[in-house]
Amino acid sequence: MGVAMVTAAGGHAGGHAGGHAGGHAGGHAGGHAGGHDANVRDMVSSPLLTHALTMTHDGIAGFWPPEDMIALPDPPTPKGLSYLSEFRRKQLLEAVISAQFSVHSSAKGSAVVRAGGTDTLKIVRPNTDLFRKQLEYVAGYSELRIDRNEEIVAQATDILVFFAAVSPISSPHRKVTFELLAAVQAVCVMIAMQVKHYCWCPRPIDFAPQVQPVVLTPDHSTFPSGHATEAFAIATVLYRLMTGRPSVDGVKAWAMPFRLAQRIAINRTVAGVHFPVDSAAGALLGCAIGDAVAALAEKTAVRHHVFDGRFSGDFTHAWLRDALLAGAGGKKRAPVALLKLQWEAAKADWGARVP
Amino acid sequence: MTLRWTGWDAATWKTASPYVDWFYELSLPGFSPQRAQSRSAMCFSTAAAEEGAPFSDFLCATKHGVARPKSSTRAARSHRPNLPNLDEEFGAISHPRVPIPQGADNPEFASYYNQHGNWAPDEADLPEVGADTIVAGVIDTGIALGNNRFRNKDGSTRILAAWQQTAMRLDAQKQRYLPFGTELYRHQIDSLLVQHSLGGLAGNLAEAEFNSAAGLVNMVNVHGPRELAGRFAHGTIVADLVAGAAPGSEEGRPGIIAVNLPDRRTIDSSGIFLDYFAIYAVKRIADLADLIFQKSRKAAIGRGESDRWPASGFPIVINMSFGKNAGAKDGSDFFSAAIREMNAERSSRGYLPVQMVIPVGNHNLDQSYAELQLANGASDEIVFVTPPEDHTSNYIEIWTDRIDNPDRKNPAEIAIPLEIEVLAPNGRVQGALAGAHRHARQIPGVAKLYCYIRPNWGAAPSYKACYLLCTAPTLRHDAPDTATAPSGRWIVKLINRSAGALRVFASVQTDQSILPHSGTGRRARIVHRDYQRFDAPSGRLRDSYPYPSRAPIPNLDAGSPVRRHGSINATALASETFAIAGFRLSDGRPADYSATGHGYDLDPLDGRRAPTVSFPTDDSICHAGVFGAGAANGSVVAMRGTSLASAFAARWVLQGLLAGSIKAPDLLSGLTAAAKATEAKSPYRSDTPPMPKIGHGRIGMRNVRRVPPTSKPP
Repeated sequence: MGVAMVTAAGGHAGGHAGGHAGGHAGGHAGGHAGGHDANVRDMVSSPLLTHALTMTHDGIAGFWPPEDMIALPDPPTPKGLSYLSEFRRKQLLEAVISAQFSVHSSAKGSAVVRAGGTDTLKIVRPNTDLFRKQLEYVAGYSELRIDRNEEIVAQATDILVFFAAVSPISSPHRKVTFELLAAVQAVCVMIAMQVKHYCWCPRPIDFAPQVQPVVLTPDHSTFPSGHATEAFAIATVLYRLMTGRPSVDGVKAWAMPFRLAQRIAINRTVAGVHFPVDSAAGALLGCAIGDAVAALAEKTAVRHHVFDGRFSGDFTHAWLRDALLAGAGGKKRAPVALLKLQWEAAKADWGARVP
Repeated sequence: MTLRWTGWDAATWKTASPYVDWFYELSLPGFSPQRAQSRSAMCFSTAAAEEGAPFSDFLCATKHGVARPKSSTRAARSHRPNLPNLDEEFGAISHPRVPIPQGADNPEFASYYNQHGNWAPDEADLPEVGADTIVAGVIDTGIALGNNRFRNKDGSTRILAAWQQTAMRLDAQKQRYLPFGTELYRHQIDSLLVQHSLGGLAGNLAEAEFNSAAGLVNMVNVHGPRELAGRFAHGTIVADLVAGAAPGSEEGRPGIIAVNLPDRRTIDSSGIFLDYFAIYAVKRIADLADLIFQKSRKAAIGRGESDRWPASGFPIVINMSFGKNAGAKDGSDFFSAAIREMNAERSSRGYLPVQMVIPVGNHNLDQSYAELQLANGASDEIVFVTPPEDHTSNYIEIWTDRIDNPDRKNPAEIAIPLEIEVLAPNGRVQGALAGAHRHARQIPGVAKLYCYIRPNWGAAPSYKACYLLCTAPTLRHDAPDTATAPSGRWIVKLINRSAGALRVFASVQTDQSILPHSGTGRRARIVHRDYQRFDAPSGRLRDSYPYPSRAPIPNLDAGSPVRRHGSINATALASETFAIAGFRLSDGRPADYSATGHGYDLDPLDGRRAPTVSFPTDDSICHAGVFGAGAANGSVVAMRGTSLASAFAARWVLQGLLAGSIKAPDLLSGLTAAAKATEAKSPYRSDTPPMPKIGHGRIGMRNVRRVPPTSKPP
């Protein structure tokens, strides 16, 4: 019996631990960005450790009928979210933020993004002729590929690290900011995918095979640009946390996070997978999301913007500034408690810089 | 396919420049029929400049049907009576048409020029400067006008004027005096800086939008400039080394006049149209400097300060880090003749000559040059290898050296004493045959061989004969139905039919990719079994001479007709030009890529002999290149090449002028004396490398300090 148990346990631990722990560690470490440290809680899912703990329990706990159990004091109710791992906090934040946003479409080729029950962006896709004209820019920007290829490839999977280069968000004492930015970025993906679906437009390669993108063309709509949405949302939230001011001020001041966001967006045109108009609409969407997140955390009004499908020329800082200035204010509403909690913690990351 | 040459004839040569003739015949890559339709062409007259006519003639003759003024007479050319008169030579052949991107051309220029007799801007647009101004001209591509290195402490620009030659004509109505492109003056640059900065001149500049508004970057036009959108911009680092300074530093600050040349798609991968734009650029810088001088002087006289203002204009030093690999290489080329002519005209007005500074080029190791010595009746071969998958044409020029012409025969009457046969890869032998002046033969659509005679300028009547072989791209995507040339060995057989020995030299023309940074650039080369690329046993690329070495230093080219000696930039060889070679600052080693002069005795006016002096192209063995401004404000890049040495040389001259340590117009003696003095101190553990490689000596200029010191180091 004993021998049989040992044999079974050995086979289980060896085979399972080898496959599972290896896969788990690789997948977990690679998938959970943001320096998610391994700790005891994570290790519980290791079959090897599970087995070891079982053996330890069996060795020392003895027989303990409930009536003989030694009662511990009532565990304290945790304050804030510090009791959660970074990964769980980000999951929770994603859920909290995404619950405040919805996307619907009332007309073909258009979408409305709502935040906290208020419209924050109405977006209409451009017509095909506009994209055809914008191919000139795609061709022109393609000449920068040798210069930008490294950035393009790196930004295909990670743009937060570039923001860490223009602002010290990777420092341990700014971890709440980092988690918040990561959560906002994740929510942006969800929102942008819905907008893309309602506003589907063909990619540059659909117009001309000579575009020959240097990264694989994604399967979703070219319009609006997801990279632009994410980058400008991150820039907006970061700038707001650092200065207390909205995106329009940051864009007017051409602050570093917004310069970086524009560079990330333009790199997608250089790569051959986006038109400038995609970046423009994505930038407006990103700023709107970022400002709305701040509004939902701070009890300020969610502003309303419109991208009506009309656009010409290149995606410039001046265009975005004017588009943001054209936005209209809305009603203030009560902050979302959990979001407010983390927002205040993130603001505290920036200490005296926060007004 | 059988590749057969047609016979020599004059009818297939339709325009004065053989390169331009080939260009239009082939509709080169980057100039596909669709693209050709998107551009308007304008007419230049090479004849007007090459014959030595005043520049006003050249300007005037740039447009269709413009009558040349009376000054274009032989009397007006009397100060250079021995310059070739190509009008007589080429007769009815039409002048080359130089493409200008649509929207950049000024169709009204001719009528404006005829009406006003000059191309001056409104005087009010010109800046007013002090009597001690020294003008630094920079002719390049991608000069960042908003870069801090060209600005004062208060953020205002140090650029007096900047001509973007193929920028869209934003102010077309006002700038009717400009033949093409857009020009910005100091006050306009300052206005743009304010417009695109936050908090005034010294504020944070939104560079992308400033560059777009200034016509420096255009992402939508097929021929628009893009260099400043990347990390490196040739013109920015060059201009930085020529005249850049940290705002607020105490370095001497020349006034800058910049010209942004067209991009490579307009001047062509082989620089076919470079000379035309470059001559305009040089002339524009000189004229603007004079106009600024005259305006400033007039104002000073009005204030009673005339005693500080000599009548000779400002000293002008122009760096042009450009050039071409093939040419007569004796200073008789189109560009050199134009510079010579311009300075003669300035001298006749009592103005200081313009000093050009040009690199020797980076083609020392490219097997782009060969020399043959043919005895009477002897024959020899040059093997010209064209690469596969080459999107651009390939060219090789084959020149005789000077041939006496005691009877002063007209070119058309001269029997060229050099027979030639070009055997294409898989071609059939047809026999050697001498060409005649202004005749051509061809393998239609595949290759064309031109023959012409260039009278030598100078006292003795003599001439040089040239064969130019043009071969089509070996791969074409733009016109799939068009024939391509086979890649491989083109054998050029030459037979000397003169009464004596004949020296023949061959140069492969410059060949860059049409698209910047593209990996598709392929260069043809000349091969010979005796050419040694590498040194044994070190494996190092073999330069023209060993280094370090002790005298007598051996010529490593000896024994092979393919040579490094002679690879020197064909555009840098006017006697009025400083040709600048490069070396490594840490140990004095000449840059192996830095081109070499011929290395044998030539007429002192013949620029083929050697570089003028050398300046650094590399810092050390572990740091290739020298530092300078990157495309974006505040960024620094390391680049290497004789372009940078040339820029350093221009800086050295400008700083010498500002400090008063050298005086215009005799800049050459100051420069060469400094180089010789440096060599006399034996700064490196080697004897001085021979003159054909480094010129009169190496001047070790340090990198410019990027940031002014805020406090003394501890």
